[in-house]
Amino acid sequence: MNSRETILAAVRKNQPPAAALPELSLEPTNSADPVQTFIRSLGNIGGTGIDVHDWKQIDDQLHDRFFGVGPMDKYDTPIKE
Amino acid sequence: MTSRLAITGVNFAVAETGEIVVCTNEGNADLGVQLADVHIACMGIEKIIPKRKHLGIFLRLLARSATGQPITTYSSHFRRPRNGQAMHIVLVDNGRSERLASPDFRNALKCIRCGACMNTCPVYRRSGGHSYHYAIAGPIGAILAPGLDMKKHADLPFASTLCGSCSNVCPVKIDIHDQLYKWRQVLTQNHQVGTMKKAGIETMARVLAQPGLYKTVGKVMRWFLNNIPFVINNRLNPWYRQREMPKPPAKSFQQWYAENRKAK
Repeated sequence: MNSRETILAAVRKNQPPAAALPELSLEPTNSADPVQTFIRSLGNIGGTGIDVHDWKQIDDQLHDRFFGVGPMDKYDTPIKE
Repeated sequence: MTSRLAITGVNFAVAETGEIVVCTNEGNADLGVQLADVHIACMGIEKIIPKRKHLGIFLRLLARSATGQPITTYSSHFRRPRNGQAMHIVLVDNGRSERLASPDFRNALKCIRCGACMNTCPVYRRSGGHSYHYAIAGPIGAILAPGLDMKKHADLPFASTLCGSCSNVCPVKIDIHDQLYKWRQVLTQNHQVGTMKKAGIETMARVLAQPGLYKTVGKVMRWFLNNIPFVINNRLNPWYRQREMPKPPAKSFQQWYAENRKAK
């Protein structure tokens, strides 16, 4: 039995009795647009919020604001849409 | 900055999505992970929460109870390594699955490491974190540590006044002071309480049970501390190697109360 199986067997064996989830509302309590609320809060502490919708727009913003040296093809992007 | 490997902890892992979440206020974890070729994340198995919709509650609980912030400055979600990077997640058991079997102590696994119990603990606030000689200090450390090594950490459950402030502030409702009391019983039953400590506790119990003796001992101790403090404050007493005792009051509260009550 490898360590993974050992741990899973111990967890299964020692399971506490199931308890009901507490009554918690997971719905937002504020009906305002959360993105705009966040951008406004960010602005209040000196930041700048930019609403973008795809990776290309992020690339363009980074290029315009920070690099200004041409296309960012050479930079590795963490998320490929 | 030039290291090729970054090791982070994990605050929460979401079973539904397979992602891990690392919370920092400084961005240190993000800097390390984004620069390194290899990311190793180490997490206790109790960090797993069922769904992403539960994450918001835990993130809010953590920051609010730790520093009073609405949310940590960086709450970074890692779902996969970036292109060219390797990512490893190490799930640590280290006695946790065994702890699950104990109805008296399993609640300690709910801890989200906010530190609220430390901030409120009158013992921790006086003694500081290093005096706990365990990676996790404070009341929660005092109930986690004996589970790993009862002999080595037998003193920790006694480092408490059992005032219950830790349980009162705990955002995940761990019965910390009850567990401290239970650990004391377990340690005593397992003969892990030293002779000196046992004698000291028995002496203290006798003093506290007799008001006349309590008053006399209080007077004697105040006289010693005011006139010849070196009898207590010396190198043989480990407490004084790094700390000073506050100046003792001239009179006890009982004396002060009696005098002021007469005056009115």
